[in-house]
Amino acid sequence: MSRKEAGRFSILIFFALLLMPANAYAMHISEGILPLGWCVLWFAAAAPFIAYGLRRLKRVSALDVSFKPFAGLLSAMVFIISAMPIPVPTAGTCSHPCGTGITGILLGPGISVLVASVALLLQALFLAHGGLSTLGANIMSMGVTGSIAGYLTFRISRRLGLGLMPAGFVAGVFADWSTYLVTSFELASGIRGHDPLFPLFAKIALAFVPTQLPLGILEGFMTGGMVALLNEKRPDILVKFGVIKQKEAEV
Amino acid sequence: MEDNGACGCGLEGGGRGKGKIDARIKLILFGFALVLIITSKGFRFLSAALAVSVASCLLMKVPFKKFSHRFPEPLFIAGVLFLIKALSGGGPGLVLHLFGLKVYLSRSGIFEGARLGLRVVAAVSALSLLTFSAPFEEILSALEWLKFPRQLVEMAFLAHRYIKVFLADAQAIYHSQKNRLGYSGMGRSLNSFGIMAGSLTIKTFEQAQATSLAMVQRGYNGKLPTGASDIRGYPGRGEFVFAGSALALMALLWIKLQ
Repeated sequence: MSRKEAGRFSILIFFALLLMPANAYAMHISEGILPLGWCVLWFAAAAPFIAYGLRRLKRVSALDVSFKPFAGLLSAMVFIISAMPIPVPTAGTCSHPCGTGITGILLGPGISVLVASVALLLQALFLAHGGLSTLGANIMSMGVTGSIAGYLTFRISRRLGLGLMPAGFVAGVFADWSTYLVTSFELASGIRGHDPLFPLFAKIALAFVPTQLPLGILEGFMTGGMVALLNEKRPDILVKFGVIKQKEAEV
Repeated sequence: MEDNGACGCGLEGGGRGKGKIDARIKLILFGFALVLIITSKGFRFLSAALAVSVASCLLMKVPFKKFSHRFPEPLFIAGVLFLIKALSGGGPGLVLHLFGLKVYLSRSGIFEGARLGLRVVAAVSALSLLTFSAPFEEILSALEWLKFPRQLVEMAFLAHRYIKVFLADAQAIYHSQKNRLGYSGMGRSLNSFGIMAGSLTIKTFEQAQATSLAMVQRGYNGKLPTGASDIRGYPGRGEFVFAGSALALMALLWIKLQ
């Protein structure tokens, strides 16, 4: 098949997905999709981040006894947020946000990885969103990449002088899109067989564009709205987690 | 957010086979079955694994609707991957005429895609069998016994305990927003959704403070009892025999049905 034809077929998939009437879903890699070697590799890749998160959680919990319960309860919140169907107008479907943007902003990337890992474990067991064999891959995409992207973009946006709401928006968008890109890469590398990696990655990324691109923007609005609401109603929470300084909260 | 089971489905699902087989044995059997499913090259073993999982769930009287709720997401992703594989695989195949385009479906791609789809369905069925047959607390205790990080187990215990509380809160907020036209139009919907998510974060924080205070009053010192101490010993000889036989049978089937 020529490159031109492959391109045409990818466009066909794109439009086929636009016409799909069913719900679309957050991009968790389902149980059984990845070959064993890739499952092991992604677990190994996620392990250092989890170990770092656990060390950090231990250190913070030693100072504040309410922190571990908060992290646990935040996992429940991420579970619920990432199971909430929100309408994606361009795709004519509903999809689910990731929720790691806000946890990355509040808790920092280390503990946010743990929160996402627990939410992913619960989703795999109760909803079959994701799976146990693919837990490592999903932790890498949603937990590690989403949290780091959300945290870094928020911090950089704030340094550039953006307000809380726009910075939250940017963090939400990048947390979602980076999750989606890494998931596409994981899927492509896992199922490619003898096919070249990058054309397949491009096709998978393109196939999920109708839902994931607008979903990222919606997640941006959601994250921005959350940060703005927290700043308005409970700025002490943002101060406690170092998102804003005490001076900013008093203004 | 409608209360249609989209989020809460299966939260109370486990426990039908509780007390009969140790959760650790179930977890090990599931892990082994999953490895066999993932490494299976043909259709026959995958079909057998799917049939056994579905039959076991039906024998445990798991409602079919509840069981089938677990498949839309995996099937959606598997469907997209099937399309990509079928459209991009090499070699001879079928030609379809769609919207003035000649679409070539590769035979090897269709085969690969179908195998991938069946593998996903078989693996999800096996996972469903595990979660419907063992209560969540037992699975977590077994995971801890198998050296899963304790702090993650504690977080999962707490999260599991509060999902329903937060879900009820989220539904209450959603319905009150909806009754006040909070979801009429895109802009309002986004605003309402952000407020709902933010309110949930505030409730999470407040609940965490109240919970930790109550836990400290009851002697919490940073370690939450997770139930793993209840399963300190090893499973009985009968369970070992059962597990050994099941593992051997699965391995034999995997070899024979390749």
